[in-house]
Amino acid sequence: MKNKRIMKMWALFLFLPLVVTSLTQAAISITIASPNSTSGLILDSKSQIVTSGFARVGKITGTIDLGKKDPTFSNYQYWDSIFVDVNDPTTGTGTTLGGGGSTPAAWNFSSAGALSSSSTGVLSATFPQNTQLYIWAFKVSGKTLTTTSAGSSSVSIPALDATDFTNGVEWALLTADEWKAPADLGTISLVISQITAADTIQSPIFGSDLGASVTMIPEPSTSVLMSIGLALLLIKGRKTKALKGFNS
Amino acid sequence: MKRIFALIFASLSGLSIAQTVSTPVVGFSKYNLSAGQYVFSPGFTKAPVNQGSAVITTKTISLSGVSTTTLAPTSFTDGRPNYPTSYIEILSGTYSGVAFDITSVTSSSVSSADFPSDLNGQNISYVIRNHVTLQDVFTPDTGFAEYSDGITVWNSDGSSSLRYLAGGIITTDDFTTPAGHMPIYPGSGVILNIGSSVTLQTTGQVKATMTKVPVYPNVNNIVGTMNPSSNVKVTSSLLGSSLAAYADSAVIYSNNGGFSLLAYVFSDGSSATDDSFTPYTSLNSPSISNGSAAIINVATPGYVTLSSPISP
Repeated sequence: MKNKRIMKMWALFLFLPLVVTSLTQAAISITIASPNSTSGLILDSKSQIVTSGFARVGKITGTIDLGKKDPTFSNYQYWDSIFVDVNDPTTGTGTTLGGGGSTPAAWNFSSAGALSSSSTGVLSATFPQNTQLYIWAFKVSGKTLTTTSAGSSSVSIPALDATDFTNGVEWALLTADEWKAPADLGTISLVISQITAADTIQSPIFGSDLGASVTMIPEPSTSVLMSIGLALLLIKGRKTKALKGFNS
Repeated sequence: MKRIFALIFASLSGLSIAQTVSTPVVGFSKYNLSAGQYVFSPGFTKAPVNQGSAVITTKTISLSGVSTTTLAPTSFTDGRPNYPTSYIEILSGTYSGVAFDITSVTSSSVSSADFPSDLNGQNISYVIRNHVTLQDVFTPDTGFAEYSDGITVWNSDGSSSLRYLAGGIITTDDFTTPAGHMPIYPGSGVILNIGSSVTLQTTGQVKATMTKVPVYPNVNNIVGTMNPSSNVKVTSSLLGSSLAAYADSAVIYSNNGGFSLLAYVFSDGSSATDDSFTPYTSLNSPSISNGSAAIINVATPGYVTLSSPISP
């Protein structure tokens, strides 16, 4: 009897490592659903289709500082330092370690302005259930995501530099109440039309909600110029109206 | 998961006095699923297209009366993924209960490239059925939310395929490419993520023979019960004898949408055990709900055997 118990304990001891390694893979999948205007598109600041640029998906590990919403290089560095991507490698240097998921080509904006497809194999240890998820979308020329498979050690997300921010970068930082990491083995689809004014979370964080679709915000220089232009138009309109009133 | 009801009845067509006949049991099950995450397995099969016995010669059997259009794998060239549409299940010998995809069809034969070489020259009993597919179960009237509610299928190479409802059809995760013809293999299942309640209905035949579900290493093998009307205790399942002793595992999750871990199931070589390798008893045995499944991880390729809920 005693021998049997000892044998059982030995069996337990010997096989425990096997047991631990044979448990279910802890991974989730995350999809961007922005194929058309029904599901909602991410448009530029002028509500036009975005055809160059990409989207990052991840979680935010620092303060959501609304004072840093404009797309400038220094603001980019701030957000980049606290944004953990689902598809960054889990090990390495020179990058924020991420969830280890795959990077699909369709997270680069298509010629129709669409984003779709999924990052699979995202470690649920890095993105546990109910982690709030964000899409950080960029309109930028000459920078694209590199496709990688799950578990890749290659960095797929291009780093933007100061020069990019002199060439009209626009961005949006989006989330919605529904955008929470699923339980292990599950999937979540980040549907742009889920961003609504009724969300309890601030949504979008940077950008404007048009209903199903959302728009990005432009670089501050562009916004300032647009404001000046608008102001000049208003002044001109008033002057013309006054002049017309005087003449009549 | 709230099961509304399951109606199972024997089809009596062809039954006459003083004959020994086997009547297929057909029926349907309806599931009300609230928002959450589920492991889902249909549990039914489609009706046989052809059955009998034949000798396998170079991975092919001769038969008559089959339709090439009904049984042939798809051959899309427009970007749609291609899948087998039918399978031949062996009903005798070592591979009894294993379903092999039909990979080519003529008017007088069907072939499966997946037949193992040791079946060559053997006279086997078989049944041919069409696969249950995603579009058989996840129809627009289920309440599935377009672009949002997801279906995850784990493939034998360890990758996963994500499917959504978009524009009224099941698509790949580009929300454009039709993929509703993707099969759900006998005894296997999918993982569902749904944002608000849906109602699923599964229908078909209850298998009267055992099912062997192939399982692969480094894959989340989703294995159900083939019992569409009742929960199955692991002590009355064949998990204990199917899993490799002290190595393979099955994980059972709650089926209320919360996807919380209910139980680990291991094997001591004959009995289903808990994670300290103490055999479960009928009193403390966890169950796999009808319509649900376990996630099975194995060290080497093999089969998990599912018994039939009915006598043949």
